[in-house]
Amino acid sequence: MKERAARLLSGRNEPSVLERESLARSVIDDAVGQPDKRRHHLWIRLAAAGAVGAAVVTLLVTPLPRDLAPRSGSAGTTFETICRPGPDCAVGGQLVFRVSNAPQGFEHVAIFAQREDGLVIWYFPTDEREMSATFRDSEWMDEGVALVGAHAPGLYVIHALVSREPVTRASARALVERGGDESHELLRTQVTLHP
Amino acid sequence: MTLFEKDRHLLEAFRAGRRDALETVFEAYVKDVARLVRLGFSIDGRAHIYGIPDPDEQREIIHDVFVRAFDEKARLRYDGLRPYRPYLLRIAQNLMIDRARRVQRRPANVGSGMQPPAFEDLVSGRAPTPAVEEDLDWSRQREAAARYMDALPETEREFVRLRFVEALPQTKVAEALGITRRRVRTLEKRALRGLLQLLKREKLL
Repeated sequence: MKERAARLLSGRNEPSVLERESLARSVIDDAVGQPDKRRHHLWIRLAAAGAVGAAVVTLLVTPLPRDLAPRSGSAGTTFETICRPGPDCAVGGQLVFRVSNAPQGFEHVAIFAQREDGLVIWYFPTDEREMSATFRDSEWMDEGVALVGAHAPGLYVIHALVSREPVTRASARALVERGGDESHELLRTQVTLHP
Repeated sequence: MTLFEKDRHLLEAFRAGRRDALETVFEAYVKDVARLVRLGFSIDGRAHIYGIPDPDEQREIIHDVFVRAFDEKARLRYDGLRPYRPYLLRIAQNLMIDRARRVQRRPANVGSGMQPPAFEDLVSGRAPTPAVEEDLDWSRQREAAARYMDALPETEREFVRLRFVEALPQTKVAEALGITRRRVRTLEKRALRGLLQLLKREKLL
């Protein structure tokens, strides 16, 4: 919103002075290295730089978890991934997802990966205007993700936001920053992608 | 003549990874990169990589372009003589192609009938600004923003001009208006909040 307002005030639908300043800071932090700072995804840093509450900022500086074996949400929900053709995950393969033991009525899932350098790769929704995907409990989802493009070899944290209602990417971002709520469960796992 | 040929000290500072130098280079080229990311491009008039309409995604690509270009090895390899803008646009081109392969479908602006400009035209600066408005809400919101600015007191209107239209840093705006940086921050928040409130009142958001 703030970024949009700044573009409107400038009269040009291109990155405003606020976006450019924020981008420059994040680019330079990442490029020349900030040993005391962790690398966070851009939207997270932009949110932290904006007028968001202290609680959000606290969440955002939490280090990426390192013990990310598939874990359960509060209601025993699990989120798993496998790679095809397998058994290892490799560039050029396919990543498939499964949500199991979700509470009654939870049928939607937004999924994105976070690379070690902080880059976020969205899987579902497939773009900003789309909604999260539906899943059948305990079944592997039909739609897999091709591990190409930005999927460089390395460690990825895969985030899943399971919900009663479908969500957009924007809603998913807001919910991830809040750590989920009663109608949304936030689950994570990790994948090591081999060359 | 590249930015670095005009200022040889800049090249030294850039290669050393000094923040002020990196900021100067970023500011000099970010609009060109942003334009390519927003408009997309064609290669040899055949392969079309369509522009990215979503500002969040645009920022992600721009971020990645400059992180690659500002990486220490890339900085040290650069001699200050080769044109830097085409170099950055090539990185953006590659990232956009990777993205297109990943999503394997065209973004939403295909429906407008716009063909992206030729990559070489973007590199040479000849690419025309598209006549079709990609963002349908923009015109109405922009009209409301113009009304909002007209209704501002003189000092605040001048502040908006310097900070947002001229895109001056907060320190320069403070100097120009003879006010403190804290006051600049207050005016900035007030201007943004005021416009967002107006847009909400008029149901334009």
